[in-house]
Amino acid sequence: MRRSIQGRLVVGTIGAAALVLALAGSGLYLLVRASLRTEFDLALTGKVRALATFVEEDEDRVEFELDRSAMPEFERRDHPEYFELWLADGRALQRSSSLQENDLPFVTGAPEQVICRSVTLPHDRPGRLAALTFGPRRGNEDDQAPVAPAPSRTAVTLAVARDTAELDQTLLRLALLLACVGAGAIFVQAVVLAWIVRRRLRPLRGLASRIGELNEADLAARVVLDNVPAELQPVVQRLNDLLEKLEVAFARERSFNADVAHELRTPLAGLRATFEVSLSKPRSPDEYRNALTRSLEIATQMHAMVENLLWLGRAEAGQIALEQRPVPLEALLRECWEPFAVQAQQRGLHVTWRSDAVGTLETDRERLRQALSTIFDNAATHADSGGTIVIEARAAAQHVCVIVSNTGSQLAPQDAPRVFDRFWRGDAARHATGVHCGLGLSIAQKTVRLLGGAISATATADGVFRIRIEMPRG
Amino acid sequence: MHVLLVEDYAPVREAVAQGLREAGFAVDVAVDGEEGWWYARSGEYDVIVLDLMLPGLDGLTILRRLRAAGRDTHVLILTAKGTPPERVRGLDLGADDYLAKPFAFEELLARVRALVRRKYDAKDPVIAVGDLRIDTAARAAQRNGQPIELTAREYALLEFLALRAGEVVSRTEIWEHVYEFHSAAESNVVDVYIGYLRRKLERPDWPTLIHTRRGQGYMLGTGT
Repeated sequence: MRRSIQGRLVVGTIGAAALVLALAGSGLYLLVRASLRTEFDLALTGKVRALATFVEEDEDRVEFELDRSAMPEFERRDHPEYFELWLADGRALQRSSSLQENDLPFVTGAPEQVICRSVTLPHDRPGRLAALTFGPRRGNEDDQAPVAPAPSRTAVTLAVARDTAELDQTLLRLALLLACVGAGAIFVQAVVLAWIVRRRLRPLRGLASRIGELNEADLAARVVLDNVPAELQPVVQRLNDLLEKLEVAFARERSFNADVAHELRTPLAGLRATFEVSLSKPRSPDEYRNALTRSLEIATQMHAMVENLLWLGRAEAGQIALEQRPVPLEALLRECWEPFAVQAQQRGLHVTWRSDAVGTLETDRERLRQALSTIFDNAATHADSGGTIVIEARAAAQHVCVIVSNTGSQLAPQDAPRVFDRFWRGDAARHATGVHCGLGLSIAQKTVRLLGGAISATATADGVFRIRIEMPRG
Repeated sequence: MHVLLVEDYAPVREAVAQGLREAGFAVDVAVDGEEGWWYARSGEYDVIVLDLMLPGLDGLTILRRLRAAGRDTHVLILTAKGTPPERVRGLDLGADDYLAKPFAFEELLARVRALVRRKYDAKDPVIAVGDLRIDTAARAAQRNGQPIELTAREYALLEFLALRAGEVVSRTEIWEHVYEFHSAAESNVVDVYIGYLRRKLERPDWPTLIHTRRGQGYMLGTGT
């Protein structure tokens, strides 16, 4: 199931709001119920105290004289109120007519204290009861103010009860009202919230449609959103950054493809011209042999270039297996230089060796040899006639450094790092097509990096070109 | 006709030079930009076939310099850079034609021939001088309907004279357009070849075509 921000936002918010509303509603309900009960109990308490004044002790008899017409609530048929008077031993002395033959629960407590509690009334109706245990007033003491009533000889308990149907109904209505209001509020909130969220998420859909319009044919396009919300700014920014990187990568790839095409077209042109001219008229076997030899050379060059390109492709895809073993560096350097020594001598180059005791490296010998050969070849070819080549090997704690420099470079200092670009020919000034296809140093760079090392190139204004390799010891 | 070929890639250079020579052109070759510029500046060429990515000096620079120096030699750019913007750039810098590598050699040859015709204001590949007809595409000549067998050098000489029919052409001009820069020919080689041509072209009963202008040179034409 797909998760929608909109859905989750609405559900989450509504859930929280519902919880808050439920808590608030319940709190309000309990508060109202408590206060209604208190009021109800206060009325009962007042009534039991009032009725208590009608209980008199006369001689040995306890009398309860009630003007029934003044208290019709004890007579009526509908939701009547009840009272019952007991002696201390629980004997009922008198009860309201509404009780008929029933009794109220006999509840006693401390003297002069009204005790309220919930009870079940006849006909199983719920109700509240207020009971007061007291010493009845003595007869003929009506005019005496009962400031401190004298302890009576007889204690009686009077209870008044009333059903709570009305109260319960009020509370039920309140609960229903609260529930309805709460539900309504949540519904309205949900609708409004969904609308707001939907509206506020509109830029997201806008963004999606803008992104949908992007394609690989026009990577120069950028996502421009008017009034992008702050939350989306970083997304748009990152996206545009990504587009820029893609654009650069695609441009590089395109120019690389153009370079490959160019590099293949030239030898193809050579092959084709050779074939066509050879076939243009009958020739001697020697002429055919020459043409075939030349064609084979071209095919070999093309093959080497394709292999180099494939190697670079595999290296970039991380598919080159390395074979690590201890390699004595200085011996390797000498071995790599050997094939170029003749060429250097013919060109009158001065070759200087400066070597520390660099010891051995844990590395892939064959790969390192290829990289070093390329670098030596580069130096031997690019040094000016009678110039100087310096080969240095320096030892450090964690790594060793090989620095190869030659004089006579025509590279501008800022162009030096570009010698590692595939097919880059800053040295077109010196090099014929087909002899060096401009992949050697790219491959050397890739190799050194594969071996865990670093390679850099610098050129000085006075024509010294320098390649520096830093290899880890193992 | 004299062609300068500036191309650094040996297989193309050698094959094209051989093909052009076999097609009767005198071909000078330059292997890099500097050399190419030197030849272009100092020689009298009918067509320059110019590569663009050259060591030393790139082709477009040579072209620009050539035009800046007021030379109107016809230039055919022959390069692996074949996208429309690159072609436009080359043509706008003053090239006369553009051919992308790889190319069909026959097409290069035809384009070079077309540039030669353009140089001599000849639209028709067949040149007629009196009863002499020269098919520059087939490199064949006939007179009075009879084919004339010519060596490459003889044909080149005849074609050059025919393209400038009616004009007096000096020995130096003939030399410059028919012989390669490094050819080790004797100084009287032009006269010798004129002699060969006369022997093949002229008959006592036909009107004279090749006239000698003493002290000036030669003229191909029906007049005197």
